[in-house]
Amino acid sequence: MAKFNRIAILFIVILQVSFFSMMTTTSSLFLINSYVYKTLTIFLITCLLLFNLIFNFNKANQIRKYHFLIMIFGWIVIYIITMWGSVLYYDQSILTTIKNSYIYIMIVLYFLLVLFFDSNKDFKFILSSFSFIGAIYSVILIIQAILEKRNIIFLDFGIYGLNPIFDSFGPMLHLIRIAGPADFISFALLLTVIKQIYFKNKHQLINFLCIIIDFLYIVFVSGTRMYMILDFVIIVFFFLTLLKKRFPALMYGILSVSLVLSTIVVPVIINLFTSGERKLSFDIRLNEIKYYFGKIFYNNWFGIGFPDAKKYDQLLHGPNNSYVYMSNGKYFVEDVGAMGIVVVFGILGIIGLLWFAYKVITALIISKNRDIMLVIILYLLMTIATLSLVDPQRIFYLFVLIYIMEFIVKKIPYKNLEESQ
Amino acid sequence: MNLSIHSHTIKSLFKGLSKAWWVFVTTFVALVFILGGLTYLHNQKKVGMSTFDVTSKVIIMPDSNGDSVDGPALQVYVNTEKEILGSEKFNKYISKNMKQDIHINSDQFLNYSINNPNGTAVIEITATSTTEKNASKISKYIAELVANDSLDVLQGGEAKIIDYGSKVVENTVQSNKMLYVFAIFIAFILSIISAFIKAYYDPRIYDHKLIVNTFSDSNVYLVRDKNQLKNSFMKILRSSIVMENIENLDVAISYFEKEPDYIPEVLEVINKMNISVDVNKFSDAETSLDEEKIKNYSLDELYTFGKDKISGISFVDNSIEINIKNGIIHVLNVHEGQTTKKQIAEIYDEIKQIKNANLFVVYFK
Repeated sequence: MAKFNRIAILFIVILQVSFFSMMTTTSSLFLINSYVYKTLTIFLITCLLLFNLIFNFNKANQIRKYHFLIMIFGWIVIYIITMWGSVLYYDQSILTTIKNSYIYIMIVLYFLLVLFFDSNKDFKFILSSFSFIGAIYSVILIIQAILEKRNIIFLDFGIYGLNPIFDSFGPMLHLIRIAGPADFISFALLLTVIKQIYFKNKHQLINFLCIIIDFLYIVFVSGTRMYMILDFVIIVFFFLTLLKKRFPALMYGILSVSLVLSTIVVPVIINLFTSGERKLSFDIRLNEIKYYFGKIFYNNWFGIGFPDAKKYDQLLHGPNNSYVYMSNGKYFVEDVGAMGIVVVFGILGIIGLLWFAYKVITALIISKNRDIMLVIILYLLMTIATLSLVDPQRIFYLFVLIYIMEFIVKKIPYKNLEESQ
Repeated sequence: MNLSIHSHTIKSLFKGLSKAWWVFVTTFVALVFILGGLTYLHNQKKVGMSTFDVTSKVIIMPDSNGDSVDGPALQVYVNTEKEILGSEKFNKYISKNMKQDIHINSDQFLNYSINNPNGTAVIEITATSTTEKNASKISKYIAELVANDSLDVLQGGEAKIIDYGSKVVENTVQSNKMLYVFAIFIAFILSIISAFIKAYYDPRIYDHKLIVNTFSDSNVYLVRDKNQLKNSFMKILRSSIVMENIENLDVAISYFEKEPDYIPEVLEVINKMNISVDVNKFSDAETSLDEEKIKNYSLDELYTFGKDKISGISFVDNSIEINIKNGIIHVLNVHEGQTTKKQIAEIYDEIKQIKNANLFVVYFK
């Protein structure tokens, strides 16, 4: 059963990268499984969970301490109440409401992972599968980006596939820009770092190699600045944790120097985002925030909720008056980060977020694996502004992160089994 | 593994859930009233009518000379058109003119949306209104406006109407009955969740796995009736006698309920085994048991110097706070659904401190 589960979860993770974009995505396939549609993923996870609950109950029925369980139930309550509100306020059918909010059913992933993947072996398997798939995908994408210069295209470059931007960019190499997989690869990089911190000396070289390959993709092919900064910070943090063990004094030295340096670097980074060619997108972002901020109490006790996307296009994507700047100036809830959650769920969203923050902080306090908790918090904090973790593209990763926290919060730091026996 | 309030097995959670049925019932009744009431209020306020969507289609051509424009340039053109037609300014313009041209007030006019089927130069104008006639009028009006006023609207391009309001979709308002059913369904789910939360924080033990895991070095006897109880005590006493000889026998039986109802059975076992030992009871509670063979002590006497030599078989009351008798043989009597995790965690900490302690656990299912 354990083997079957692993194959199934591996398949689900590979689904997140659309089988390495090797096959062409048609428009119907796009609706089933793609960057933005996760119907198949949710369906498979639900089936796998039910299957396991029926045939593998003993594995689930082990003694555990659940750190996030009640919060997860709280989130379900928030989701259901908002759904009810949406049905009433928008006078739409229950089915339409579910169609427009199905992505939150991804919460079943938490139950699947926590109940059936809770041994050290399973934990390692999950981390490794993300790590390796991320590295393999990075290699494929880098090779494709280089070969594209010679007009050799073997990946799915269609509008439903990777949909790259044929525009050279970057300080060097000037490769084609393939931004879509950045979410996955950045997440894979994070999990590789977590794997290395938790399992220490095991496969150190392979992990380092994976981190480097992932980072190369992020810098030279994805062209997503936010991820470049995020991954850079994570890698710096990782090296600091390595230094802390061997040369604590050096670590504190570097930390204080970098703190001083950051006073110089941070304004430069902010400038990078707010001026020049990026000014336009920054301005749109500001308008976006202004627009969505006004919608937090749109339906009194909840925000926008889950209106029919077709009927309420203008409500969801702004008043369409940004066409002056560019040809397609729609606003997207996904672009405003954690505020997007508040916009959709209103006051309930704020409660949900604060609850999550409280749980993460208490997890940090009681956990013995502080370094891992810190790197996760770093990731969460840096994605909070623009890369909301409840978007269709990233909600899968949110529950994997909660699973990781749930796993390590009660565990004492990992010891090799052979050593401890 | 230390036991805490957050330690659970799925089985214990579900057993706790069945014990929290009253939470389910009260929350369900309360929520049905609240949600049903709110739905009723909402239905009263509701305008309560269906709306109609009527769609007209216009094909747009960027260049009036008929030169073909394709690829990204066409897409940019179509997108721009779509944005212009969807803009607030255009919306205001239509609302103002519609009154004179087709005699529709802006308050009758609900909404319209502009769509562009992927990869085509077709623009779909879908008007929504409370009557099919109005929706159709608005949709056709906008389509005509685009086709005729192409100079103003189309940046020099041309447009042709290819579908003149033939697609009609009626959006029926949710039936009231359905909304009540949905409210009841939501109330049901929320009450299950609240009962589940009650079960999560229920401090009592519902699964022997929790005990077996906590005292992994000890013998745990699962007991369902008095016969099994007697058998277990017989085994415990037999191994105790092997460990300490009969003169020095000192077995402390810790119980957590107010009044243990199995003392007669234990006495019966002692009789049956034909051993003569003192039977003591350390408790501050008024005892209803009138057994001659039992010597009653207060809990303080567990700690009084000199009296710690009391040996034999001692029942120790742990119902209010945890008390441990001297000696190395301990029996814990755990009752499913009564003994709490906190009691077990505390007594676990106490027993752990006794060197060479031998622990037996009797688990009453």
